[in-house]
Amino acid sequence: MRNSTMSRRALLRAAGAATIVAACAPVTTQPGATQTGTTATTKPAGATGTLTFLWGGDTDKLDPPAMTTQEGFIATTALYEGLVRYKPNSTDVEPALAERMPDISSDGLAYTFHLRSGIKFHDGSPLTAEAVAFSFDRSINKDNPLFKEAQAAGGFPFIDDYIGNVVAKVEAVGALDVRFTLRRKFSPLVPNLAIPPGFVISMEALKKYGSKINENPVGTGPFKFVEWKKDDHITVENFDGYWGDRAKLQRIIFQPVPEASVRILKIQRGEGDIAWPFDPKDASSVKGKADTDVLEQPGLNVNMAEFNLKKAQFQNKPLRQALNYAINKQELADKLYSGAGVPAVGVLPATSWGFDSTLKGYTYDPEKAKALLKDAKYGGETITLDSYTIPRGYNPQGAKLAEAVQQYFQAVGVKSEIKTTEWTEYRKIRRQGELNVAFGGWQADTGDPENFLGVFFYSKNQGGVNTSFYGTPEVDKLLEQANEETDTPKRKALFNQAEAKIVDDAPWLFISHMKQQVAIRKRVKDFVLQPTYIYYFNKVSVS
Amino acid sequence: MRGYIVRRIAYVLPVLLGVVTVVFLALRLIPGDPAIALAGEKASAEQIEQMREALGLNRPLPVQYVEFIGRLASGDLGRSIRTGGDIRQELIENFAPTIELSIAALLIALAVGLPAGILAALRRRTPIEYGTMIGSLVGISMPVFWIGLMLIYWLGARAAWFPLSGTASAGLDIPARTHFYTIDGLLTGDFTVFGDVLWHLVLPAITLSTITMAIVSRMARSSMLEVLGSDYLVTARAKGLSARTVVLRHALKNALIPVVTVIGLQLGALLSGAVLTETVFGRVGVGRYVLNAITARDYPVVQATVIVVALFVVVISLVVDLVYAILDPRIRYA
Repeated sequence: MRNSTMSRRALLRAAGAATIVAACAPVTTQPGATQTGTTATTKPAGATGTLTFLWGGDTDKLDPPAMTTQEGFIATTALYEGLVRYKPNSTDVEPALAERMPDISSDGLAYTFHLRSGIKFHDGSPLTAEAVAFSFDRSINKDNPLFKEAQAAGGFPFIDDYIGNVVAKVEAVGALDVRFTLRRKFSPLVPNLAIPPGFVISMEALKKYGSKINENPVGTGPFKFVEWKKDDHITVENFDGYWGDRAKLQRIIFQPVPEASVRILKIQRGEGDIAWPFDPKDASSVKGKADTDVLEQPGLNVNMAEFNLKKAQFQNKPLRQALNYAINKQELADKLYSGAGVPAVGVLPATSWGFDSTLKGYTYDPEKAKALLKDAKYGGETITLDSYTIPRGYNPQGAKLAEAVQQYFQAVGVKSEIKTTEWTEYRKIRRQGELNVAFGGWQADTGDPENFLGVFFYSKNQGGVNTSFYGTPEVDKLLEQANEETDTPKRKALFNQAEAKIVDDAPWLFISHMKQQVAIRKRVKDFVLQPTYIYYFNKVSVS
Repeated sequence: MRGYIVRRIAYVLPVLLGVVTVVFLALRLIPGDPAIALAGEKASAEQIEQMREALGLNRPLPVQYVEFIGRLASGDLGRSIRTGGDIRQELIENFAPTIELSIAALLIALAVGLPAGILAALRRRTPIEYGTMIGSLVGISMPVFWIGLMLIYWLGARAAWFPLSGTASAGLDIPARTHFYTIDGLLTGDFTVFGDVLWHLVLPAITLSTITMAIVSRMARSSMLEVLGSDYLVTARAKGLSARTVVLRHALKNALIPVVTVIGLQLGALLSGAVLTETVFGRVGVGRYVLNAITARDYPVVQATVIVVALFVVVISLVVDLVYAILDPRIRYA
């Protein structure tokens, strides 16, 4: 009997062990592979494969005007569309939901878009001028009940900068004609409509879900929403009712992987197809390999430090210029940023259509720096370098940049001390004008130079994003003219004049632009980088 | 016993109120403004002020506190500032995977730590004892994130035995019923899905278990040594009982009492350890949830999470106290 009991136990143990071993057998996880347990879906003709896009953190929201993260911008671009969109790898826009570029009234205050006919949202409702007006009214009309409802969930932080401040109303003036009435002339409006705050949301879905549209996105994009498990994944699926050329992918899975090194390991091992962002130091481990590569180009960003012009110490132009000459930007780009940096000549990166190739800026010249320090009557006072603690997209090295700059200053005889502050607090006291030489930067949302020069150097933005507290009547006037002018070459000339004046005044330490880098598996075809990081997945496929 | 339990439960309320008050004040005393965190780097001063007003952060602190306590009393944990989602629902979704991970880590810690500690006590001055002691020292000393990264690199990337990150394979659809991934995996009726979830659980659970494993093994060893030297065991041996019976029937049970205390305390510690483990392995869980909330100064989420964790720890310590009575009949609760 005893023997019998023991043998039964042994048998159970063996059976249990076998079950666990069988259960723990790895599931095939190569992206795109068929997996047991996946939701049964109808596969649209010609759409195949799953693309897995890895990023660092999850988006905060999926409601286009409410989001604050780049991840949200990327994911919603698969789901939603605007009246216009960016051309491939360009900051120029072309019609999307609109059939053609808008008709602009002679006074420049009314933009009328004619919509394409026959477009349907993912919920089957038609795209009409009324639906477009409803979607915009919800995000810019502060009396709209849906606007008010959204405030409890955080509201719409960005829309005013791009659309809300200048657009008085959006109305349907025909079944497929929608008119934007402006308070003042504002040329950047059209490109601003290409970014997520300008995406059109289904009217029916907004009426049904209200602010819960965040968890139930309904747009007209080439992919429709499947699910969002927060901090785990967002899944979107080919929309078989898409009005344009159908997307080639069956699914896209956006997956947060907090550890940058693990994102790269996952690309190497085939557990992901595209990883963004990652540490530039890891680029060599995937660049030009048999199965993986790195796509890169100059980014639409700037990495800098602001002189606080409210403080007497920095109201000294020769001192600011001297400190600019003291920094070896090329060395920073090559060594601190492992080759992923591009020295900054001025404010605008080369990817901006407003870039001025004739601008000279401040090349590394310690002797000139010393001469200017004499002109500035620098008497050995300590300069405080204020730095944030965390890595940023435009400065992946965080506070190490301040340490490097301190050494350059020391080399020309300038004493400095570094003060680091937690990021949220840093942003608060920077806006209050309490910092000194404050490191910072910017990733542009749109390709318009206004999105760099206007936000940082227009005097009315002081204490907002303009935290160098720079403002001159001359630059203000040039920026206002550039915003009103509709002719692009003339706008560029105005922006170039404004930038030349700004660079000469040196309210910043102009440091670098970070390259946009994406680690990618070679099985992914036709993925195109976009200066604004608003990637279009319509033509992307996996082999 | 019943009276004791009722009394203990009654103590929970002041403890929670204390925790709630401390968290409420601490969050508002540390630098950082949720309106700025939420509005992002690009928002204007006016937008930040609007955000502050919309979130009720411009009101006096006592008013905010009273409102907060009032909502809490009615079971309303509020909405997340960062995601706009219902915190109660988000906590359910995030707590279950963390408990799952913590239990797995605890099981591993006990499965390895207890026998190792007991063997070390029984085999004094042998390589077993030295190995256990050195191993436990390493387990306590090594940072969790470093162990995690090493496991990911060696067992995940190099050996390709385990997935590198995540809670389940990308694209694997697991309907959320209980939010415990293993249970939800089982409920799909597909053992491959269940296996995939377990497979993703192994490295994070080992990582999270290391400190607990080390503490349990050291505690088991010292406790066992103390018991082995006691008079009643000398008597047991004198009666002629075999060494096996002496250890298993007489020594082990008493030696386990302090270990149970440690296990109870460690369950709370595992929850805090989950912050790093979940971040390194990119797992869904309350650790990562609260980390994101702290970074965004998402007060309502941080407050709600701390309250729920405090409640969890209080309940665990009550359970531990009750388990004493089962392990040691001499213990009575008046």
